[in-house]
Amino acid sequence: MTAPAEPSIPKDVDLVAAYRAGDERAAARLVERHAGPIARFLYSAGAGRSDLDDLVQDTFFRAFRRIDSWRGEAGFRSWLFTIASNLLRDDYRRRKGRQMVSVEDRDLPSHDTPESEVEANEAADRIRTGLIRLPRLQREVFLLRAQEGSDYAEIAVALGTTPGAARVHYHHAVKRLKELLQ
Amino acid sequence: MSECVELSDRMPGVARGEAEWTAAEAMHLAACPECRAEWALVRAAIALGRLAPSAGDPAILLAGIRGRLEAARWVGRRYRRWGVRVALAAAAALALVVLRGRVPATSGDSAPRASIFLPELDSLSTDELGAVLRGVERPLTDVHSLDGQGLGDLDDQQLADILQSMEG
Repeated sequence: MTAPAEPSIPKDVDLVAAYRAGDERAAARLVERHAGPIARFLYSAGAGRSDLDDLVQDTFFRAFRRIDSWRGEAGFRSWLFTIASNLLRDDYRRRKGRQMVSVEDRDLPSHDTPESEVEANEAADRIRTGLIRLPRLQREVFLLRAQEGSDYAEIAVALGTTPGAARVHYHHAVKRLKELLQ
Repeated sequence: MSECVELSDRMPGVARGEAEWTAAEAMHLAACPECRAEWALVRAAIALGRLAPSAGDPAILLAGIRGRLEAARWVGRRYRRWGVRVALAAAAALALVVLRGRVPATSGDSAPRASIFLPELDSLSTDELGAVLRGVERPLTDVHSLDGQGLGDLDDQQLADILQSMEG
């Protein structure tokens, strides 16, 4: 007797189709799957902790409201990154260019925190400060590439550029971050 | 493609634990300060992602999203249902204010036709503006025409005539 097949993990395109057909559980699965990476992207790109929940909710609200406009030419997560990127841009404009980044934005490491983790956290703090000083497109290309592992084709669709330009933006970002953080 | 570009392309996957360096790549990384500096940035980006706050309880997040979607749908339905009536009421109320105060009634003409000169709203007095607002806020049938009729008593032609006078 053969073992029962593992239930396959539904793809985003199937979940979106189910949601369009009225299946609210599909929406729940999409949120579970993508909320973390969206929060990570927004935070790394400069969103404050106090704004993060609203921005994540805004991202999904806009996505589900315009779900019919997603035709699958780009990944669903890439499309969410597009929406999140636009929200961040609008938020930045509302603040009239004032970046609200708290230096002590998280708990200080305790004496029990391994040194390697302390060093990693310090490096993370430094790069976040550096990222905020980059032009928006360089910052977001860098994050999508380095943090999310997106390929340049996906990044191009998410951010409205070309794969070749995305590659150039990435290398500009790397060069600039090296200068800022040395 | 140069070794540095090849290594750069591989860095995100290795940093995320999805791949490992080959022996040749590890040797290049040890010998190339530019690649080592980029590798440090990529690892810092991954560490930054780990520090990000979680998106919160998905159930709570989803409840908030659903609430907003439902509110947006309700507003959309309401606009579609009342949009035309509100537009007619606003236009008629404005016409009535103008007719009452500015334009003499044409003798022998029972319908509220008008050669109406429509002033800019900011030229209306406070009382006149208040009348316009009350006309918009009240239901259709409560607005009175010059003839003492409610707008609900006017037929389609009469309402159309009022709109025509507004739009020219």
